[in-house]
Amino acid sequence: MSGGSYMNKKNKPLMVYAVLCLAFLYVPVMFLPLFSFNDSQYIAFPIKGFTLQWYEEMWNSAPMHEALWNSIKVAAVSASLSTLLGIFAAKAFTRFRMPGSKPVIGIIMLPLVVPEIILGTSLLILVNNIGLGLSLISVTMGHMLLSVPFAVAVLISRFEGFDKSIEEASADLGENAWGTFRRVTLPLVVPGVLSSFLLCFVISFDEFIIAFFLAGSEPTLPVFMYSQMRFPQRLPGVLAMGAAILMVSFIVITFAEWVRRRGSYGSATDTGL
Amino acid sequence: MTDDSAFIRIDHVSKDFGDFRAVDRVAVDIARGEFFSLLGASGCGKTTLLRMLAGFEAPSEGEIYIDGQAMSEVPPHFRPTNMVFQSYAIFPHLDVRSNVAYGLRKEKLGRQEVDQRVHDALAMVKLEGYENRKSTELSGGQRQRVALARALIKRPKVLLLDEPLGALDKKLRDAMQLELRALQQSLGITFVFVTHDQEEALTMSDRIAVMSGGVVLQIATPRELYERPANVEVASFIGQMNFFAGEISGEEGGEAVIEAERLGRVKCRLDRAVAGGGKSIVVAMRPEKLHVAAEKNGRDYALEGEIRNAAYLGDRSHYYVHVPGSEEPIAVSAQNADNALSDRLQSESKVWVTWSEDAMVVLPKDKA
Repeated sequence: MSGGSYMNKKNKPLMVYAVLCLAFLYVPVMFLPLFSFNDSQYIAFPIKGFTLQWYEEMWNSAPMHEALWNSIKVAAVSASLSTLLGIFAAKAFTRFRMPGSKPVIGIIMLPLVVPEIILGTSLLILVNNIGLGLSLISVTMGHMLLSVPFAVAVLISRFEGFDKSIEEASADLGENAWGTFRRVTLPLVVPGVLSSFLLCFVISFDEFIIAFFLAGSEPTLPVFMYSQMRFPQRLPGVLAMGAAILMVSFIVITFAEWVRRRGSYGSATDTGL
Repeated sequence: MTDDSAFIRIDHVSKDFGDFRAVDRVAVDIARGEFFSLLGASGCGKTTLLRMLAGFEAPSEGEIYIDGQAMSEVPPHFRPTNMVFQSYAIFPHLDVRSNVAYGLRKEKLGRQEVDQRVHDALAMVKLEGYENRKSTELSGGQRQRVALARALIKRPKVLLLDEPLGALDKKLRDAMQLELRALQQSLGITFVFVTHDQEEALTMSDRIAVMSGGVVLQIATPRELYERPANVEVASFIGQMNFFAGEISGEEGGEAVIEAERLGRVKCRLDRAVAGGGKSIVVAMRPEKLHVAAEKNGRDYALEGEIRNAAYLGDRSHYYVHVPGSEEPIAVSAQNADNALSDRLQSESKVWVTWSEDAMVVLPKDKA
């Protein structure tokens, strides 16, 4: 055998397996953009021809715009608040010796494993009983419940990623707690904060069940899209919207991941210990 | 202004972490301008003591005074101390200039003066021209220098160093030891230096406090510590030492008569016989104060034995000599100055181990 170690050797069956897995994951998603350009009301093969009609329809649909705007508001507010809470929680868990911090983390992470339908039902009962009612505010709070665990997880790993003595060095050099937070802690966790915000945003943006239960008369985009399913002639417009959102989500997540990686200062900071 | 010999006064300081006592009633006075080392194995409490000086930990009992001022109510950012961290704790998001200038913000200096101070500080640690380097582009040795410059630019009364040389390779470490020592002497700043490396402590310090289990075992100059350790624990921690259990059996002409295992009957001046009360003692001798020779020579004492093991270390050799009636070898270290002699002294050769009276140190027998 010439060149290459065992690990670098080409492995054909493995390649085929990998391609199949990727196809399984992404081919279904590809139907969305595919049919959004299809010149037919019916979502079926064979493809008829190329059109931008559905995108035009989407562009001109006022209720769709309203739903999109609702979703953006809910996602922005819930992602901001979740990330803020996440910063406090992560700072507390990683910097202070607290009795019972492990169980508390467990409780914060619990919504990750509770079925959303259960969360949705209980939230519905709750908001009706405390008089909050069905509104975008209720949806926002429900989404925070879902996204706080993600924010905490992302930010804890960020806070753990840097040496505690860096903050001590700042205090040692004359900065008080606030100065240290502003000049050292914050710049170092900014990548984590950004990626937490974007992750929470996306979680809220495409969340359906809780929004469906709590939205009332102001639907978020997923709820609106679901409601359009009843009208076959509007379906292609929904597909166009879906394809557009897919594209935006893809860009946002790629950006978030890029920020997260660029922000970790590499192993260079960790040597010497 | 206070008494210069107690510029830092650590007044019976203890630190408890839950049930664990990390530092136990430590009382040390450190003089102004002194290079003072805290030496001990990991977990002996030396770093905790240093962190209490910096203000990162509060003493559970006792008080620390720096330049006459009690420190317990003073937070780290108001203390006249600066620290070089073991991990260096360089700010990874800042370049070298911003790292070094970090502590100057509160002094409200003009840009030119900041640049001048940064330049001077970097010159002090021989990193001129590194201002614009990213901190992630620095080698271990350079990071260490930046950490030093960053602490010294604040012109602290006391510089605290937490094993700053531990992560460097041996050559660089040796060079930095001399450099740090020279820097300390030219600046006249009091250095408190934490290390587990006894050679490092001996090379650099004016005085050393040897710690173990949160307690200070001995405070002394490097020479005193090596030549006159206060007890078996210090003696075995610093360098290599042969120990011989024995008893004081009497006194003869101002000297104690000692019966020691393997050595037999030896005499030692009384001022070194530190046995308090009990007659059981330990005689300690450094390997390099013992000599191996083919014949008995003119020294005070001699034992006949056999070299069972010889380790050649280049500049010197270690011989492990067995004397009749004991399985425990006596370690002897000899310079390899004489090729003919070191060639002859191989394993299984019969030799004489000789020493003079002042090679022996009499230590109290440990309670254990």
